[in-house]
Parts: sequence; structure tokens; C-alpha cells
Amino acid sequence: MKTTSTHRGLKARRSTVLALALVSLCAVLLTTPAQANYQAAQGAYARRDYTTSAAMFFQAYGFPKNAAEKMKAEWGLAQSLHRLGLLYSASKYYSMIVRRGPRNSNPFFRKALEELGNINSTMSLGQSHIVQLFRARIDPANVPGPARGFYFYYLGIEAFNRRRFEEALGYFRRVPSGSPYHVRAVFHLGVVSNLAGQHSQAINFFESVRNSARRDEEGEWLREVANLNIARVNYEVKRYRESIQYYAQIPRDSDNWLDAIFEAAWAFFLMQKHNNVLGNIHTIHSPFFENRFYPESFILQSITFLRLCRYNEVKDSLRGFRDRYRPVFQDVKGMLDQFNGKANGFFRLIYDYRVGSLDRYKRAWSILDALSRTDVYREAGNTIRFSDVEISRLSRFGGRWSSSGLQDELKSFLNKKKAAAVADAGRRLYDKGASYYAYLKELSDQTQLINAEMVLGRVDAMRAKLKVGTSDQKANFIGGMQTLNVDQDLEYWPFEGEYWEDELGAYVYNIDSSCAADKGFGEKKDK
Amino acid sequence: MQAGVSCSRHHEQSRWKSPAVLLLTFFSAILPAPQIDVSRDGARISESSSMAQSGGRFDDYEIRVIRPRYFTKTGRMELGGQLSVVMNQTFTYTYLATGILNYHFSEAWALELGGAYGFSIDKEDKRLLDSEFDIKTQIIRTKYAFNGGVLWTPIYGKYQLSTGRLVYFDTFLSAGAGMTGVEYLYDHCSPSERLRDGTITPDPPPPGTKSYPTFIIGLGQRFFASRTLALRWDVRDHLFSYNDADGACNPETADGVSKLHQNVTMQLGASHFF
Repeated sequence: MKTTSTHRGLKARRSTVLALALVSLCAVLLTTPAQANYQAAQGAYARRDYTTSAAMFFQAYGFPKNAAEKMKAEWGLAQSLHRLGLLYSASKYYSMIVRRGPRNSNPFFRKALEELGNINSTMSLGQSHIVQLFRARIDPANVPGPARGFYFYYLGIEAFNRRRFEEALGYFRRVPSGSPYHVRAVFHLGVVSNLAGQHSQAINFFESVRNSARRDEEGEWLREVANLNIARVNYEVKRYRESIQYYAQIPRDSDNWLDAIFEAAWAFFLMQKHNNVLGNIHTIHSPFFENRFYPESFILQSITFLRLCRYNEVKDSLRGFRDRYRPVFQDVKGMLDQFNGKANGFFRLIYDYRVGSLDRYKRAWSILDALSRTDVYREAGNTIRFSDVEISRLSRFGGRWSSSGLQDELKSFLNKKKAAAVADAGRRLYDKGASYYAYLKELSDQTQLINAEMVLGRVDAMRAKLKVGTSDQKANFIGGMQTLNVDQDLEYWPFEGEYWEDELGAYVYNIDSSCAADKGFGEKKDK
Repeated sequence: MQAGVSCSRHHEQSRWKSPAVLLLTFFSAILPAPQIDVSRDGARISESSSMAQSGGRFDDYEIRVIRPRYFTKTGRMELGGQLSVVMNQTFTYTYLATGILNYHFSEAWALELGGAYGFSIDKEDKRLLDSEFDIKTQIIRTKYAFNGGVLWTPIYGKYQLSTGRLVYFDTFLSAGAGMTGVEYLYDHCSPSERLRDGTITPDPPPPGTKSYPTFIIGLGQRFFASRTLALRWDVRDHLFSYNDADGACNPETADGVSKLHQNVTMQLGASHFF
């Protein structure tokens, strides 16, 4: 019995030793792969096998040997994704590094900030993403040279959005001249200068943008908006002729072209070039632009006819506004009621309109069209498009990426990024849509006022109020926004009720003032 | 965006008074205008500067398009190359390589110098008449032509193709004078032979070319492919008087009657403006 019990005790001790050994082995097995993965990931990265290195860095990042290795793996993962061209995915890990701020325990902060600046200069990360990034202030001394443009530009934008213009000026001025953000910063310097009433300085900044913007897509866009802003500044300081000359430089295929036509019509109005005002409005009212939102054009048209004492035409203009926009009210109101608090749904509605699959709210399409041409929609659209492209690219990296969970992690990030962009843009677009509705109501009130004054026979008083601006006899324009040059060969085409696409923007009326006591008030017929 | 907007139709400019303009409009209409969906494509005719300055400009219209002219010719040279074919010949085909040099001193008026040189090929009909019926045909073979003249361009217009692309064109009348060289081969003549009465018929003259003063009228169009290149066609009537004796087998016995001859040429080519 004794012998037996001793034997049993020995057995129990052996079992304990074996169990301990197994536990130790398991511990070794659990920790060694992480270390091995990190080293292997480095090897794969050195071999430029970024697909493998990304998966391995991700594993090492999930099971690091220590905190230092976790950071290295995080950096390696971001770099691998960057090298694979998955810029949004890479930005996730760069952003995590940057958000931890500059400290000794975060050695990759400066490099990550630099890389984010590079990514954002080629593919916008989105305003909300960058705001998150710089939520905690960073000592400028910790911002590396190549990232200073990115950093100060966005601080400037944030200050500008909060209407802290002086502060914004300070940030924009600190964007280095060699930075890809410099031209954009100069552009904003122009905007802020104009807001501060420094018009000449503003024009100088915009001229500088025109001259230094690159000859690529973004550079052309900057050049175009710089032209538009120079035109607007000139308009503001009553240099109407110069204003129109800059409006004329907006290319026809641009989304801003019709804005330029409309704003130039106001400049013509203030120069008392009524035939040009009406010509520009004729373009806006053509069937080519039936879904574009320019309700104010009817008001401008009616007061132009009023100036010319052409009362029947005034009535026609007011009727035109009513016929075109009265049906809009009902649909817009219904649309705003339905999507109140449903940002995603509202964004989707605009998207459906843009791709041509919407068959509801037809009478509100002009407002949806205007919303679909805003920077807010465009930026969100870019985020969605770039995210979708990356999501589809992720499916190519199956195998190790899916087994390690990297693919799901990145897909989840990209989907969240899309959702955030849609929600943010939807909210802002809804607010803008509501402001369009209010604007439309205000214009409707104005049409009623004009009509009422006419009915009450107070036309002379109204006309007296409209004698704003000064007649510029020196400035002569042909159709559209083209100045008349001496010895220029011109072509004339009659408008007989049909619109030719190439003629849009070149119409000019050929009518006189009908005011009995004010024959000189209108323009000379036939330039 | 606004797809499906019908923006053009064929225009009739019935208010034009000038018969010449109406005639040219007719010729414009018979041109090989693009065979396209009529509801979307069309042609428009503008007025030339000269007409505009003389009070054209569609003054009666409440709304007009006034803009810098797409294609300006004033003060520019036009250098062109064409292939000319004489169209009114029964027994030969005549092809001429043609060069033109125009100077446009206004949008409507230009001076032109031109020259052409080529060859004729007998048609099968001529050979059959000779071999089957022993009928020998005397032929006016145009060898060359050169001329100077004036061009008047009263019409400037545009077509819209189904693709939406616009093609600007103008239509012109031409008149001028020059020389036409006619090659005589005397291939319808028999060689020298002794007749029954003992006389010996002379050999036909050796082949040669004779030149005749020529008057030319024509019309044509240019289609502007770019601001420096135009495709151009002309139809011209070259009218000249030749001496019948020049082509006779025995010029000494020939009557020497003057006869009028017309060469109607169709010319196709391209012009470069500089």
C-alpha cells in the first residue's frame, strides 16, 4: 500500500513538471511568432515585397514584443500600405502616429506628419480628418520642414472657418514658398485680404496665384477661381469693366462659367449696358440650363426691362419667375421635410440626381443640381470614390491579408471614412438646401413687390431707385463678355428661337429704351 | 446634363435680296452636307463683313450673337493644292494637278493666282469608235492652265454634325482670266499617202501644245478644319476660243474657224492659311 502511494506521489510531481513545461512552451510559442513576424516583415519590406510586409507588420503590430516594437510595426505597416498605393489605408496608421503627438516615445511623429502632407497634396484626406489630426496643438518647432506647409495651411483654414481672420493670415503666411500648399495659402491670403477691405492687396495675391499655379488639374482650378475672385473684387470696388474682363476668362466647360455669366450680367447692369445684361440672361434661360438654379436672373431681367420702360417685358419676366419657381417651392419643402435629420439620405438623393437615377422631386432638381456642384458635395464624392477604389483594390490582397485580419480592418476603416464623409456632407448640404429655399422665398417676395409697385403705378419711383451704377461709355462689349476691339472681325448670327450650343454666352440684345422722357437712358441700338 | 435639347435646324435665309446669294445658298444646299439626323444637326449662314458693314448685321433681330469671327482671312495668304478633273469631256479623262495662291485683302475679297498641269487618258468609247466604226475623233486635250482672278465671298456659315462638332465654311464666287494649253496629238490623222489623183497628202503636224486666252468663272466652298487649314472645292468654267485649224491634220487646207470651248472643272483640295 505504502509503495503504491509513493509511486502515486512521484507520478503527481511528474505531471506538475510536465504541465509547467507545456505552459512554458506555449508561452514561447505565443511570443516568438510576433518577434519572428516583425523581423520577417522587415525582410519582406527590404525586398520590396510590400504585400507580405504589410500583413506581417500588421501581425507584429497586433502582438508586439514590447511597446517600441509596436510603434515600429505600426510605422512599417503604414509605409508598406503607402508603397502599395493604398493612400487612405496608409493615412489611417500615419494619423494614429500623428495624433499621439511629438514625444520621445513616438519617434515616427515627424515622418508620419510629412507623409500625411504628401498624401493630402495628391488626394484630399478630407477636412474632418485633418481637423481631428490637429485637434491637439503641436509646437511648430516639432513640425518637420516638409510638413510645415501642410500644418500651417490647415491651421489657417481652421482659423478662417472660425472667422479668426488675423490668426488665419498669420498661419497662411507661414506656409513655406516651396510647399505644395503655398499657392493655396496665397489664394486664402487674397480672400482674407479682401475681407479686410484690402482690395488691391487681394488682387495682387490672386494674380500671384494665377501666375504661379501649376499646369495640372488642381493648378487650373486654382487659376480659374483666382480669376473669378479678381472679377468679384473688381466688381466690389466698382471697376465693372475689369470685372467683366476677368469673368470672361472662366472657361466654358467649367462649373463656374454660368456663375460668371450671371455675375457679369450684374456688372453690365451697373454699367447700364442693358443689352448685354439681357444677352447674358438669355444664355442662362436657355434650355441647356433648365435645371440650373439662377432664380435671381429673372429679377435682374425684370428690373433691366423696367429701366428700359418695357413694362410688358417686365411682366413677362415676373411671370417667367413664377412659372419656373412656384412649382419648385412645393417639392423643395416636401424634400426638406422628408430629409430633416437624415443627412445620409439627403446625400444619397443628391447623388441619385447627379448620376441620373432620380425620378422624384423633379421640380426641385434645379436646387439638387446647385447642391451637386458645391465643393462640399465634390469633396465628399472624392472621398467616396477614392475609398471605393481602395476597397476594390483590397480584394486583390486576399490570402494572408484576410487571414491576419488586415483586410477586414482596412475595409472597416474605409467604410467608416465613407460614412463619415457622407454624414458630414449630407448635413452641410441639407443646410445649404434650406438656405436656397429661404433665398427663393425672398426672391419671390421681391417679384411680388415689383409687381405690386407696377400695379400701383409707382414705376417712376422704382426706376429712380434703379439708377445705380454709372454708364461707362468707353466700355463697349460685343456678345457675352467680350470687349469690342478696333479692327476686329466679327460674326453675327440672328436668334430665331433656336439655341446653338456654341452661341451660348455670346448673345446680346438689340433693343432701345422705351422711356418717353428718357430716350438716352437706354443703350444705343446696334453697336 | 441637358441631353436631348434640340438646338439646330436647317435655316433658310429668305430675307436675302441678292440673287447671287440665293444662288450660292442653293449650291450650299446641294453640297455633300453630312447625312445626319436633321433634328439635331443643321447649317447656319452668317453675313460676311462687307455685307455687315453695308448695313446687314441682322439689325431687325431683337437678339443676336455677336462675337469674334472664328476664321478670319483678312490680310492672310492662302496656299492650296487641288486635283482638278475636267468633267464635260466625252472621250477622255483629264486630270490636272492644281496649285492656287490667294491673297485675302478683306473677308469678302481676294486675289488669286493659279496654275494647273496634267494629262488626259482616252476613254474606252474613243477606242471602240476607232476600231469598230473607223471613226476618228478629234479631241481637245487640256495640258495646262494658268490664271489670275478675283474671289468674292458673300457667305459664311456653319454646320453642326451629329457629334455636336461645328464646321465653319464659306462660299465664294470666282472670276478671272488666263491661258489654257491644249495638247494636239493628231492621232486622228492618217499618215502621208498618195491619192488616186496623184497628190500626196502631207504628214500630220508633230504633236504640240497651243495656248489660248481663257475666261474663268466659278464657285466654291471652304470648310475650315482649323484656324489655318481648309478643305476646298471649286467648280469652274474655263471658256476659251481656239482655232479649228490648230487641230486639223492639214492646217494649210483647214478653214481656220474660231470655236468656243468650255472646260468645266471640279477641283478638290486643301488650303493652308498663313
